[in-house]
Amino acid sequence: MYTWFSEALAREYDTERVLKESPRGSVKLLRHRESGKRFVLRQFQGNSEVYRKLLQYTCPNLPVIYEAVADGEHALVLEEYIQGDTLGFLLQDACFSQKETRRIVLQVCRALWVLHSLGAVHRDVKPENIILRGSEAVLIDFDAARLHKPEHDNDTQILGTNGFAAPEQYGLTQSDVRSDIYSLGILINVMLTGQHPSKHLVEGRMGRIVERCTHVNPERRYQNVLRLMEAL
Amino acid sequence: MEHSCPHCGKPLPDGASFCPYCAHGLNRRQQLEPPRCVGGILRRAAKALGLLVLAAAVLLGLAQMRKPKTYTGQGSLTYTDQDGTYELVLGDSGSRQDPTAVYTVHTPLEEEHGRFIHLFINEKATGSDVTELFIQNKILAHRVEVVPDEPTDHGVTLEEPSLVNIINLGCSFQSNVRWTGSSPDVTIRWTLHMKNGDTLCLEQRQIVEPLALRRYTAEDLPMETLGQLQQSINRLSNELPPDVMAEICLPPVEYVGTLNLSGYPIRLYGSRNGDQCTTIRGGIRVKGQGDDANRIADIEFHGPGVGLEVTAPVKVSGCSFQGYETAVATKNCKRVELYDCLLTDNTVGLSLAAQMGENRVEQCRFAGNGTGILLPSGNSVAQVEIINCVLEQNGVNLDNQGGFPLSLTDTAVT
Repeated sequence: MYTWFSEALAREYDTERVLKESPRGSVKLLRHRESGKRFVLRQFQGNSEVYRKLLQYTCPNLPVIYEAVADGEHALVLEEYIQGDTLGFLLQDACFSQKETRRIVLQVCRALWVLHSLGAVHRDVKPENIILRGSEAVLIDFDAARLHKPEHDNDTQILGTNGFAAPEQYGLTQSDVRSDIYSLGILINVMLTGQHPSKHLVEGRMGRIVERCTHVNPERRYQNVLRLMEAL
Repeated sequence: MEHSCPHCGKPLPDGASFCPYCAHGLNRRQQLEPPRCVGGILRRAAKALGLLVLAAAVLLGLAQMRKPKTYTGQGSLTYTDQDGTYELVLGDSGSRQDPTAVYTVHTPLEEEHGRFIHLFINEKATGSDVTELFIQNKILAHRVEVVPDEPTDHGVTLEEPSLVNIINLGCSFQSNVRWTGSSPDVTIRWTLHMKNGDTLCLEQRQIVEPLALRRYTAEDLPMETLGQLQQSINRLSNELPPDVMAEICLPPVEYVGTLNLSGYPIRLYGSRNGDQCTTIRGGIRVKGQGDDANRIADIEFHGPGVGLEVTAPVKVSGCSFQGYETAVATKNCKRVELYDCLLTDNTVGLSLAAQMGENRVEQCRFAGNGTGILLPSGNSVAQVEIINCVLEQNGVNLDNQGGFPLSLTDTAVT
């Protein structure tokens, strides 16, 4: 299936541009020659279980996963192309208001609820992985995501972005849904102040929410995104 | 196997979710949404109306001011009334705290399988089990139903739910779901009509992934000796894709030693040729994870030691066990089923320890054992049904050391 799909893409699609290239793989923007439709193609070495699970579902805050194939360690994922600016890009110029932050973070929580319901942890929630498509926030890039396996003591690969990654993602214990809660806390603070909470914690009620999200002990954080959504 | 794209007609391999030729998706998709946050809506409504309304609501009681509402959730929902806030969770026999919004099963096309689905009700703040109180005091009526995507004969059935209390799991409303490998994906909907007029609606999506069965005989794989059989099984476990299950038809030979089945589920069927039949002088160890059951059928087991040591779901039928210290020993696995088996002259016939989930012993005969069926203390056992069995002339027929819940139906104990 991997070979067939790879060959069909080579025949039927043009590569418009390379969006990302790294030792782990590449992300390309493809265009279907006949219809002009655009898609994102991810090629990477790793586990594509999360993408395969998403083949059956939709969520307005996650890109549609059209196909996910693997050949041993090599995976190919074809997903919806989301047009819009990333939060990272928008945060270069200004911070967000409390109302806008709540609205966007609630949408990211919806996306994470879907992933967590399927047993996956994103592990790389950050402004660069959130695209604003009109008024909708879309969470992309599950390359770091994995299915949570209760019988494993720690994550095999250490992934995540420095600053946004929860302490447990640095290898001592296994990351679970509360690791994404941690990243959401950092995100809220960065959206409101432009800074990491260790440098400048936002004041008031949002500051208390950020503190609880980013507690070093996962047991003291919101235990799932639904509880964070209630707090917001 | 191939099929065609419904849009452009081009051939596609089996399992394709997308047609690269016409750039159309092929899968019907379900939109997943988190449950509505009732507590948040109530707080926002109270803020908007001001402190006076909040004081009035506290004085009058929320029940008097509330209009009946409908709450929906996939896998779980949070519900608040005048007595408190509750978390309703649809799950399996593993944990009452973990909701299962989507349950995927792997089932051979022509077979019928079943599982239990549980509705747990916990106090939200503490996580404690309030199922029985909730059902007795708050629920007027309930219904559980299968909702297919299309109005077709889906072959999925549900039993009327009953209240059960399982050790280490607590109380739950339990129903049995049955389906076949050709059943479509369906939604299982649990509706609770509350005495205060509210309606709670919980859904769980069941996905059926059909399994193809591939049969192997002595002509396909070397299996004249235990060593050859073990190597053949190991090879199949590594090579077969996840949507294919191996059925191995064993020749009527005697195997000496211990066979290990671990990881990938395998089906072993013994055979007979005149006086000769498939025999194991030794045992089989069944290990692994997941919900799919190994099957062992029509094999004669001869001791000593342990005949069948099980830590993964297994169905055993038509087998005989003789001369063991423990003929069948189970531990920490979700489901064990014994059908039409004969256990004789063993120190212990069947030992069930630390079992979660559903366990069933049907039409089996335990005779001349030191102990027929043993449930050792110090371990938990969830549910055991003993149906239409004969326990006779054992030193002890049934030794339930831990006092675990047993259901005995049409079983002769002498």
